[in-house]
Amino acid sequence: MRFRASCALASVWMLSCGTLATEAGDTGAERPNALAGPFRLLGKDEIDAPGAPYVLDKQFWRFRQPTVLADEPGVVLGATHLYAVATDTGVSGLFRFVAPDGRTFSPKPDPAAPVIALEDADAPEVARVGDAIWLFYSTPAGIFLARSSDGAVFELPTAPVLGPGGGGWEGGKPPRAPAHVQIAPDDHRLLYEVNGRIGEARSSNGEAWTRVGDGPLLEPGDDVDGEPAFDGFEVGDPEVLQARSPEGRWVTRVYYTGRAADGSTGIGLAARFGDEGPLERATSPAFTGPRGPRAPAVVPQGAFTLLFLEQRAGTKEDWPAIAAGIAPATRRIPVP
Amino acid sequence: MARRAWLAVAALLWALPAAASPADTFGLGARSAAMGSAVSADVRDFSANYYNPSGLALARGLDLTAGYSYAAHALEMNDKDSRVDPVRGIVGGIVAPGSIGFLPFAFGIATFLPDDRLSRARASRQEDPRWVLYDNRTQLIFISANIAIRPFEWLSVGGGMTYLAATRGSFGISGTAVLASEYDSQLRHEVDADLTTQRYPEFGVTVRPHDRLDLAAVYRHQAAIELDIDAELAGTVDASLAKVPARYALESHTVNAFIPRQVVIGESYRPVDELSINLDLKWVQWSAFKSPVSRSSTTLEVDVPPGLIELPPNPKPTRVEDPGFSDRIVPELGIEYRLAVTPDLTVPLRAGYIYEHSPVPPQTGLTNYVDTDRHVLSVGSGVVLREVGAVLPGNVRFDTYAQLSILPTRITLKDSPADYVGDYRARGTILNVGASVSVGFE
Repeated sequence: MRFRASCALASVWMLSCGTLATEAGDTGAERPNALAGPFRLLGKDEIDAPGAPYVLDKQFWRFRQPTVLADEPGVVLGATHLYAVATDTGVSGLFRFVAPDGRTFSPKPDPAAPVIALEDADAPEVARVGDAIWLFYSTPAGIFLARSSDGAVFELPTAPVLGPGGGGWEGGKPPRAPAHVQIAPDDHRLLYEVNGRIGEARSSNGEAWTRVGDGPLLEPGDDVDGEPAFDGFEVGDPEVLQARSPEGRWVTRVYYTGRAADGSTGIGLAARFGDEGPLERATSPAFTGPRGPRAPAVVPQGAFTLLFLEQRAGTKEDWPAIAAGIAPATRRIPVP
Repeated sequence: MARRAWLAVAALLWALPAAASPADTFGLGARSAAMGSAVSADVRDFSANYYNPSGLALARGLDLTAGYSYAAHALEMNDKDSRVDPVRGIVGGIVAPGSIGFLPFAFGIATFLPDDRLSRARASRQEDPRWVLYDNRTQLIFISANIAIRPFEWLSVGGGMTYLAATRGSFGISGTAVLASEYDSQLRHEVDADLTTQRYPEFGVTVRPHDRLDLAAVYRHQAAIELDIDAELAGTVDASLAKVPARYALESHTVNAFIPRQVVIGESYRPVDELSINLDLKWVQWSAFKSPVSRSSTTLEVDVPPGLIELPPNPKPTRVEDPGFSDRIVPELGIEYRLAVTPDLTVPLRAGYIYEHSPVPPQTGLTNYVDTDRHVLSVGSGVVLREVGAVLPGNVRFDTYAQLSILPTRITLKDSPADYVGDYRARGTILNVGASVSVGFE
């Protein structure tokens, strides 16, 4: 009798082991390369100012062509400087703006005067090289390099470091929209836009640049499945950085503006292993939107990446403004 | 009488509810799982419904089993937990032997009922990393019903059906949405969902060429559990100044789980009465694997006045790449030693090993079907009590098992440096434990 009761109890116990369902699954697993994109725009709770996803938006200032430099590399969402082309009371130039939290920029430039007071200065690119701040920019004469010790006062150069020339594919036009990366202490690379394509040059000191190869590094994209590519007409505004894959492979990533024949734009991603050779495109853009996104600037922030770009300020507001995005798109950075 | 029995069995085969098979991954039944699933030539309990239906005809009497199993995944990518759900549920079944005239006959039913959920459908994008063999495929009900005959003392033959559930559904919303006041909106919605049945057959044969040797061959057909969803939203958006007609349509087709065709040959050798040494070789046609990627297309049609709102472009239909899986032969090894403690008490000791070479090709391109090879080590034991009492002229069996799957590290290096997923290494373990109680009448 006792045995039968034990059997019955054991059976009931085994059949009653069910518990409430759990909610989990592997689709939440983050992609190893999620820092590379795709990006989403920041939301209202992620910028400590009205107007998200815009971080700089004033109709007559016409903020455009951002480039960004963190004050202290390695500090997540620390003080950050953004250089952009802007127009103040009719005077255009390259201005510097400050964000204490890495993305909420004061609309008042610091310093108040442009750091490069040239009407035709365009497409700045800022980089920290040793103890100096280098600021590349382009004019109709080519690409110039200004240097500074504090990022606020720059010595104006008298001649471009990269002027018109190069192979036939450049068509004798001046290069613009520089993007700089330092591979080694005496190995600098400069990506630039000419003729709707992206080229590459190298230098040991930042002053004397030699074009790499006889052709462009990146050309407009081919049709995909019979459909025109988002960057099928022109590519430009490169932004370059180096990263290491989870398996330790060095990857050079290039973000760029892709333009289709209908005038629409998107932010593309192309990359290569190491620091030599051709670029390979990602299968889809890193960011798209209906307001003409262009001129990407990317800032790694440890577990995520911030993207700053230029696009129209609204559906009816057709002036340019600077917006911010983030990758992985699942990551949120609410303001404390 | 015999005709009635056949009719009853036939009716049962056609009337069972929808079901599917997690048994492929974790085995079925405490004894069989403990022996590394190498039991195709050595099965006569309810798990014969899965391993070899002809084994039903070898049962000595009515046999009932109920138990519980739990499989916990510890699968990770780049040292991050992939959070693959556990699989747990009630397992059990029945074997009912008899005879039709002079012909020994038996039928059986086996089931695995998950207690988390009856089924799960999760459609992912093509590039999303997923443990393709362990996420949706094992989150299913399993019900299998079979019959078997034993025309000769040395030969038994069996077959039957396993049942799968496929979902087809549609929903539609129509009416007017008033932006200024949702209370003035008038929307109608319709939902139409079907849980339809898919069946796949299995057959098995067992031959006894020698008193100490059994040989078996088993065929299990393939099946795909599909999920079809159509949705439509059609109506008018009332924005006070303008009434905007809008239509949004979604069509999605997903293969939620795929059960590949399998052929098993196996042997069971008993060098002494107390010892069984089993080996199965299972051919699995993974090359027919159907991608679990959702084939979806969406259409958004809104006649918006210029400058009012910005609409995203319609996404392009998904072009699904061939998974390119490879067929595999899976060796399964099992051993059982039956230790007779007293004439009425036996303690079986069991162990098993399975090696599954991953059928998934290197994921260097767009897709990210995460998988590695799998080594399965299993042990089990139990108690067999005979002559328990006058009301039970047979035996009572308690069986337990533990099964550890070791998935060694597999490194994926992407061809494209601009791949949004990037390089990763996958590895993990799966711990599967269970217990059952069986009652056998002789």
